[in-house]
Amino acid sequence: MDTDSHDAANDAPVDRKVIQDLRDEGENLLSELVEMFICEVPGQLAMLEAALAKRDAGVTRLTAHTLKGTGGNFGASRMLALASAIEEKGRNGSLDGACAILVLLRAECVRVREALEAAR
Amino acid sequence: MTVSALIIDDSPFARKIIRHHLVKLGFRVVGEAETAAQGLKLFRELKPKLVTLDVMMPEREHISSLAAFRTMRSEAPETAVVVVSAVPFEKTRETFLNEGATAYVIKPFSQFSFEPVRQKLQRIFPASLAPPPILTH
Repeated sequence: MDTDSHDAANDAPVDRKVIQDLRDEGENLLSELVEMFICEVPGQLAMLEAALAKRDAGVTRLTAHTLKGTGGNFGASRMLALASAIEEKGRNGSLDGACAILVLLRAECVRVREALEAAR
Repeated sequence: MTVSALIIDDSPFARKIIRHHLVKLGFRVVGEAETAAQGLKLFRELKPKLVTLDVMMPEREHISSLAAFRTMRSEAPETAVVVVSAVPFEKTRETFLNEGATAYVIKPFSQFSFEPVRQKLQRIFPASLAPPPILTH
């Protein structure tokens, strides 16, 4: 998966329309989801790092899948794509290069978090 | 009388969003599961009238989403099953709809993406659900 070919026009960390739709639902839904992101993503990234250190393809696949889904709920397309790339490596049982993608994913999760905190 | 619903999705974010939309429609969420195996167990215990099922959950305890769906359809065909997916694979969509899924919804949810589902559910449970929302653009 080419993680570098990212459309500049689509470089926003989250999808503004998705965020607005969540905000429009009211009842603190967006705020609570952002809080969940802040609480849960660091642990998931740590779990992914540990899985890669142990070369555990199974846990790598599952944890990356979780992060992919988390990004998807906010229209965080680059976060989703990076997590998906790691998930695929876990599924294939070939983890070479996954650590380098994790570095990019960590940075992207920071961008997503900042965008979500600004949006809530 | 409110209609009972069970949510099966490995993402806590998705479960929260789906719960929000179902409650807004007038459903009573009686359970949540994060794997197909857990979902099947709760399905048998709680006997919900509606199930939402994520098709892209990693297989755990040797039960896939498709296997759980087929078992639910076999054991309680009157239960409405709304299938949820982050990716619009046409073949997957066709499989589930041909085998009796009530609807196939693509994430992320919004009141607009959920509107066609709401209309179908309103036809299935006409006396039980909240009136249609006013969709704002």
